[in-house]
Amino acid sequence: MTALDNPLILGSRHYGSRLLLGTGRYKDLDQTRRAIQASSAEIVTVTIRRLSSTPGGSGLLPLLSELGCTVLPNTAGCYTAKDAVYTCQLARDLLDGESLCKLEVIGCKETLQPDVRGTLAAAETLVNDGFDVMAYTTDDPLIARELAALGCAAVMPLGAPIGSGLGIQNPLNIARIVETCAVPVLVDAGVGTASHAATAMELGCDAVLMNTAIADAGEPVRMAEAMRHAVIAGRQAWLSGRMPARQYAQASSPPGAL
Amino acid sequence: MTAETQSPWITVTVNGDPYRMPAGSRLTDLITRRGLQGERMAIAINRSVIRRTDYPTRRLTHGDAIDIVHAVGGG
Repeated sequence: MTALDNPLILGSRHYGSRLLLGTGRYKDLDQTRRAIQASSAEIVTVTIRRLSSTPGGSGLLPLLSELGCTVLPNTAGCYTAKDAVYTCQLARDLLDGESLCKLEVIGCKETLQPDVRGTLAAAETLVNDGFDVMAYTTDDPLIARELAALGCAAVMPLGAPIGSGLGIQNPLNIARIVETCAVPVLVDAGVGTASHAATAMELGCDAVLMNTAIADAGEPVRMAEAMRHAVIAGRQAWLSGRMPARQYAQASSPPGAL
Repeated sequence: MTAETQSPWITVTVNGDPYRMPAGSRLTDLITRRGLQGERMAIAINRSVIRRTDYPTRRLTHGDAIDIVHAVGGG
């Protein structure tokens, strides 16, 4: 956040950073730590999985606690509303009552496209159960508006398929979602490089959530820093109000010659 | 009473796999047997989340489906 900006508000909490990070696919915990620090992210996602018979713990939660991050559990891998709700309930207990959750109900293994009917059903149940739901969804403005109306804390349309790095495929829809949703809008999924993150913010998104774009970069820590700058740049450009685009040239120097 | 409740053993499932415990075991006994003391985890029995304060008193019964989860890296 800069001095000229407002905080990002999710549920009842305020955040300065508008970049949210996933913690998957990093080489090790040290790289995870350095990427989070370079990104300045304050909200970091984790996934809930069955504990293997080998004890020892992953060390991830202690790290996130040490870094002072809000831990945002996701429901990745859930294909039904019922499973997603169950996962959130387990996560809330695991994280000492944390009410924020990233809801994903996946409808297709190949595309990882969200199942919007399942997402709406799960969102309603979770909101009624006191969760602050950040709902991963398609870039359909009507579905996003419905999720916001259900009481979700944020709607998170995909820019492109999860892990694809293709960038925002339908900027018109993202802009429309920003225009019509009264809750924070985050692009979640599809960002591949810094300009994609800046584009999301220039479209008026409140924040961007990413994982693979940083973790799969040649130098993840450097890319995390690039994303931090991109999100700030895009946000500042959006707040500034860009100049009108013109069909023809308009000189920036006074007319005439020497 | 069924034959199962009279047996000195019960079989539960832990994360989908069958697991034999002495009849009358409580959730903390399972945690100890699996070497999970001190782990940061959440537990549900038959898809109902069990609060940590209830681990010592929650009795296990034959056929219980127990999920033990933790947090891993993910987006």
